[in-house]
Amino acid sequence: MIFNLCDTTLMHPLIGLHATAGEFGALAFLWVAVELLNPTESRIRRATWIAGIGVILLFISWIAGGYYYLTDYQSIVKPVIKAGPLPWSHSVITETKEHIFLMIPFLALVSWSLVRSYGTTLIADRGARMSAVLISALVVIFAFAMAGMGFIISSGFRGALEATVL
Amino acid sequence: MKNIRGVLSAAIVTIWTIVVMAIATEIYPAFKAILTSFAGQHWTAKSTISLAVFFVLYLFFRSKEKPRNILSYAVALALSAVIGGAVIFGFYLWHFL
Repeated sequence: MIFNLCDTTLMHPLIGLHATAGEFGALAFLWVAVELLNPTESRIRRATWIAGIGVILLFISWIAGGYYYLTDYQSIVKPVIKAGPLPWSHSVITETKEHIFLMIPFLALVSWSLVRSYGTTLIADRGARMSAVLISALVVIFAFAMAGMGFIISSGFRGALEATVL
Repeated sequence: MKNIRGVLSAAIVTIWTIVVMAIATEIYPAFKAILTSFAGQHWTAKSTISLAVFFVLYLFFRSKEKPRNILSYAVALALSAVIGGAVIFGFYLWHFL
């Protein structure tokens, strides 16, 4: 069978959870940044909730991606990529991703803490507001950079598989 | 986590701890072996250590007073993350080449 949708090597539910939680986490912090550009009491209340949800999503992404990395990726995917035509997609991109990824939940915690700690004083305190916007934007950029690196890594795996089939 | 000075300071140090651990595991095989023996896999050890560093330093740095120069702290954190990320990428690129 050419397309085996149940083959978890090719279509793994943990990768789906990792990517979905990560991208929704990124969108949550984009939402937070937009709410804080022109804050009101209700926008700050909403931003606090959304940032909290974003933190939870990014920790879920960390656990799901980490578990997959330690199990299937290490034993099945990594050797295939390293033997394929794009070995740098593991040696450079995966190695970079697995470490930069660790920074994102801490940045998210900082953003959430800023919004919770300052609350409605963010309306008048421009420094605190810009701090929260800056760190939220950084979470968005880093999280989408992870998605881009994920694309390169899966391309490395696909390239290696295609090299053996075509 | 409402003690904002503690959160920001802990995050900055945690990011640099991650950068140092990433490079040290490639340069010093003995360090990688220690991390592996500690948690079964060096990445798990790095994750656990980074969480521990963050929460211990949060308790260490926490202060009820909010910093006056909050934006400076945030910029320092943002620069740490960007420069730290670039250092990790540059190191692995150099290591591959």
